[in-house]
Amino acid sequence: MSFDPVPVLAQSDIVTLTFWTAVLASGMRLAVSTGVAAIGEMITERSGVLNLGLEGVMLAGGFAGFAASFESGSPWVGLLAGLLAGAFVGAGFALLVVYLRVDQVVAGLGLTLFAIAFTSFLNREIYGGGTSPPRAPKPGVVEIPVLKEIPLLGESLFSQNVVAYVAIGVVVVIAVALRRSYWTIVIDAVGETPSAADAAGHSVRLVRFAATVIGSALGGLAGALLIVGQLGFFNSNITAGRGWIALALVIFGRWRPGLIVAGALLFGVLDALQFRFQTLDSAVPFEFLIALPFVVTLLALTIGSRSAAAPSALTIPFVRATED
Amino acid sequence: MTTIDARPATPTRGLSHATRARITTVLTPVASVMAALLVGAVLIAFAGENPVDIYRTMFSEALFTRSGWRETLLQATPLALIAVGLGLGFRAGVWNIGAEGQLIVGAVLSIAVIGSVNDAPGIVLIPLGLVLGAVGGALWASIAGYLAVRHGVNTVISTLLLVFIAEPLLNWAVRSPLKDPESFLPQSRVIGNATLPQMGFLDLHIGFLLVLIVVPVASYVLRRTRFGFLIRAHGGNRFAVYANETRESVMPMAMLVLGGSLAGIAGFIQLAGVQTRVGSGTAAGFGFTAIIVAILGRNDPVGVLIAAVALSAMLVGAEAAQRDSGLPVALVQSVQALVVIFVAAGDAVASRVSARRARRRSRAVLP
Repeated sequence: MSFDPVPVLAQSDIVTLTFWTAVLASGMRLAVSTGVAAIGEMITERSGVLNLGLEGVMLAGGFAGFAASFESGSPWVGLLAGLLAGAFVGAGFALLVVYLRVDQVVAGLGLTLFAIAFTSFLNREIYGGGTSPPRAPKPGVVEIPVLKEIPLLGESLFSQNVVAYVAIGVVVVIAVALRRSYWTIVIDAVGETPSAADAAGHSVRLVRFAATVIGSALGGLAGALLIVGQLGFFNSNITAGRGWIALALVIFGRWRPGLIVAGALLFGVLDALQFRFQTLDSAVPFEFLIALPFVVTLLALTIGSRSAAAPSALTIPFVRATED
Repeated sequence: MTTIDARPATPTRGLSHATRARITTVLTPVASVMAALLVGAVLIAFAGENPVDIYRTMFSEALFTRSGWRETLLQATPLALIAVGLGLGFRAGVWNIGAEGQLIVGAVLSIAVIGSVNDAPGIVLIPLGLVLGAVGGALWASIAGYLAVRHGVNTVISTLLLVFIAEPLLNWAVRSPLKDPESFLPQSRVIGNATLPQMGFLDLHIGFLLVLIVVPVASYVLRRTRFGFLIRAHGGNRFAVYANETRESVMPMAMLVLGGSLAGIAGFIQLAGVQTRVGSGTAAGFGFTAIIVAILGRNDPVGVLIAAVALSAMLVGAEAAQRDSGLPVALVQSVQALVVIFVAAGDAVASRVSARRARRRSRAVLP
């Protein structure tokens, strides 16, 4: 009857292996950018700085990533631009909260509000900001011949675009590097008992500045991954709350990389399921499905929020007893 | 002989500490707005327009035309109502940044009920709508309150996540159960008899009167009542409040419910005074701009009123500039967000300067 090429899901499809393979693969793609952003925020928070501007940092990285890959024709340039934009914004934020001791909540909210408006302004000025925005070049897909045929996990692990592999690599490297390294101890000391770290000869402010810049660079990369690696275009407020979900993931993951990555995957799969169920002709209105990831995030927050894992000096500026 | 003297060493030179603090309170926001406008001028030049011309268009539209005045006060109404509530919460150290969602739920609840009893006269429906708006907003905010009190969830994140839940629920409501059957667009029925009457020479709806009531009342409560004392004390040292005055759960919940009800009332007022229906654009960003208004107004009801009028004049001017020269309103929104950052930075610098001055004073007295 219909010549519609889009495969409309039927109820019976849900039980098939192909369905779940596809859900896992797209869940993996969706998890990549939130996961990278959350890992970055984790580093920042463990040094004692709460960057509520993460959503704004992701938007800045996303816009810079889009512009750079669109102008240069290379997704790699886009990723680099996103990383640098994130670091740049993060440096500004860190100057304010670490050195000037501006209230972290106010500065973070200000940053997000500014980035939402400013990226939307730049996008309108430069790319018209219309309903059919220009497209960034798509990164190539790496397919590993035999392994990608593995049922269920094959497509998610062995047939992603190049960019996603980079992101996964970044996360793995950081998670391993953080396990047993000198710098983890320094960052944690600065975030837990800054006066002890200070007495041991570490510059609390410098460590916090660096942790904020690194965290924001990853936040910017996450934005670029979303735009360049996944969506292919920029639009005003396109991150649509992903930065806030990443912030919640840090709490849910109790400031530990392993749990954060697991949380990101969980939410990615949930998001992918939600997208697919929207095409399913079900009794549940699709708007409820759109709200679902946020509902689950809210519930997940009840798990980690009272945890003692939160850095003790989070949001508290460091002032030596002998200065003002 | 040495004496430790807390008073200024040279009381005749310069201003007293209290006066200086008061001046900083007013001066920082003014200077921040100026600085942000300067940055805005650079951005306007970047967009290829003449900043002087643009600013002239903006200010002459907002300040010297009757429609500009009207539009400014119309937009200032929801901003001031929401920001008074948010500001009291911020003063108490309770962050509510989800007024956008609370406004939506308030508007949806009031149209849902009023839409079904549309025959009643306005004198009944308008108070009913105000109550419904307040209840809707308060209920939505109290979810964040419950999570904060019971599970220690950070209200910054929870109130914001609730916005992302309220928005799709609004879209569903106006697409399905509340949809006007005679309209092709996803929007509710018109508010009908509950429409707010207009008054005065500017033809403002009577919702503006509510601002003129809420601001002095909130100001009085903050300065002269036990609840106001608790708000200020909770913002200073919440543990002192818990130890002596009230249970740990009371203030966060109270501030969220207060902010939520005012946001919900603003939702009803926008619905009944301006938009006549609920649609997907109902909130229009007022909940987020109100955060800026509260911070710029120093979380003080009177300051908030001034800030609300100033920021909405900027927005009205920006809309005129967009009509005249195609300059995106997003530019003025960026400038407004910069104001927040500048105010916070100005406060931080001012407090360090005064700390340094205090130390120098004590050095002058001590050997």
